[in-house]
Amino acid sequence: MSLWREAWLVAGKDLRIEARSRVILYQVLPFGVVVLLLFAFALDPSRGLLPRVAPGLFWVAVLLATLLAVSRAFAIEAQNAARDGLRLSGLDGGAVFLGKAIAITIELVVLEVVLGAGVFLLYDVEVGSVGLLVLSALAATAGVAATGTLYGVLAAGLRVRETLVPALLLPVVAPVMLGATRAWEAGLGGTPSDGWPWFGLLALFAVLYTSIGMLAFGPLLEEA
Amino acid sequence: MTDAGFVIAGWALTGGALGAYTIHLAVRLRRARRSLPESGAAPSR
Amino acid sequence: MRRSEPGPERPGAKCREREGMNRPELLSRRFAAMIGWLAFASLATLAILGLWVAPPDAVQGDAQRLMYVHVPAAWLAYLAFGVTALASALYLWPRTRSTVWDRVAGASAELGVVFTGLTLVLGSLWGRPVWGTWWEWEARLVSTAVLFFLYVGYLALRRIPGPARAKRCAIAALVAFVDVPIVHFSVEWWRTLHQEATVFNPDLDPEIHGTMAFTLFFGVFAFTLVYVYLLNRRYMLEAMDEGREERELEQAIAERTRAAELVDVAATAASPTVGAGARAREGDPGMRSAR
Repeated sequence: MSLWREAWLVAGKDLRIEARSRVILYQVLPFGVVVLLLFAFALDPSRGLLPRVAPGLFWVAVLLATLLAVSRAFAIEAQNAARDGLRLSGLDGGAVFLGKAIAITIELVVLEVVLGAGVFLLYDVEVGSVGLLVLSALAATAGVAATGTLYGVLAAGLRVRETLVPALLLPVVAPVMLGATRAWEAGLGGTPSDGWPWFGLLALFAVLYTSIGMLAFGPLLEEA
Repeated sequence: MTDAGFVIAGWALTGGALGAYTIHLAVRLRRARRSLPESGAAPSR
Repeated sequence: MRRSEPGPERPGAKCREREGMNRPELLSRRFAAMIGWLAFASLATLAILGLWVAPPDAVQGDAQRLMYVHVPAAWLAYLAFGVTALASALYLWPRTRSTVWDRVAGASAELGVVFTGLTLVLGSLWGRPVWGTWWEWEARLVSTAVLFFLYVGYLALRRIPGPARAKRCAIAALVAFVDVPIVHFSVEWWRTLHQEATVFNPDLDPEIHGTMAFTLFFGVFAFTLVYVYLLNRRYMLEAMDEGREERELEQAIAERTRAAELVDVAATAASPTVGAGARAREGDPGMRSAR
């Protein structure tokens, strides 16, 4: 299982950098919460619309935060020739991909816990099936993190990286947005059995893009 | 607008879009060709 | 048939030394011109067939005549993106790697975006008289819109020069292509789960036969000719632009070297590689964080 050990090395490195720099904690997390507040301003809480559209708003906020997290994950590689270090480290390309995707997933899960609590408190929703909510959130997050990592390295080293990644990433993760929102609608107040097929779609997406990313990451890292 | 109006608009748009794209390509091709060194023109600066 | 057209007689005449790997056009000049005129003629014929000869639809009346351009445009969009994916895969496959495939992929994607845009606008124009709205949240419309933006992103990536541009574009094209069925099924599922009665879907009207079916097939044929012609043109442009970039780069390097040599002669030590090295290393001035 040396692939996993290598992946954990990379993930540990990224998480350690985050633990010391706290960019996600102090910048991305507040951003997500503010987005939730802005949705409430836009949709006027007194009209009772918020609980119904809460799943969609939650996932839009998560996707926007994902863009920042991906950008951050590759900004740390752009400094001090860190990418050269990664390239010369002898780590397998697939393992580096897994490691970076795992780090992004963990960061996003923390973010989702906070935003989920925010949705629960601010938007007045009822929780139906916790299992469906948690599992579909994990699958969606893994899928988004995998695609984000893939596009992150695709755009790494390009000067327009920050603007290019959203343009590339958002259309690709449109099905995740759709699936996660439907699954959460079912998990919050709806009938949970409606949500499980969407969980299947999310899991499929995550597995598919993780495999593609592991195949493509090595060659892309070499060239970036 | 009547049905016929929509149909004519749609067909005109198709023709217009394809024609405009073809012309756009032709213009860019000519510009690219002119900047070729063999064609006699000054090679860029 | 259109891509593997062998070109032993290539009147392009320039860059003969890089033949095979770097052909400046896909079709011979005479063949391309023939396709061009044929495409034009068949479009004119299609207009006559679709606007006059074909009878009005029993349900939709004249509005249905938009089908003869809408459906071929949609078909071509899919064909174009399929060709992009195929060419990208051929580029990534080491045995068939060639700039030819990279250019085909780029050229075809641009055409695909043009045709997808056309499909969306035509669909909107058709939807207005038939459904009463410009836009309907129907599965096929939504997935076509997502498709459009997927490949707009790909074209944005293509515009950016950089190391291994062809390879990253090829990977991006395949990633986008894998997403197409997922988008399609998820959107279809979403719409059918939520609204029982799907919108009246005229594309697959089982009633069409005779002149109408013939006109539709002729439309697909005519649009395919247009696609082949435009693909070749776009490919030529891509090849020329690449050649120009290369030449300009060589020229710039030569100028740099000459300047550096002059400095070298005048002063004592000046390294000509400093400028290039600093440019190649990607700086990241915006994001400076602790550690």
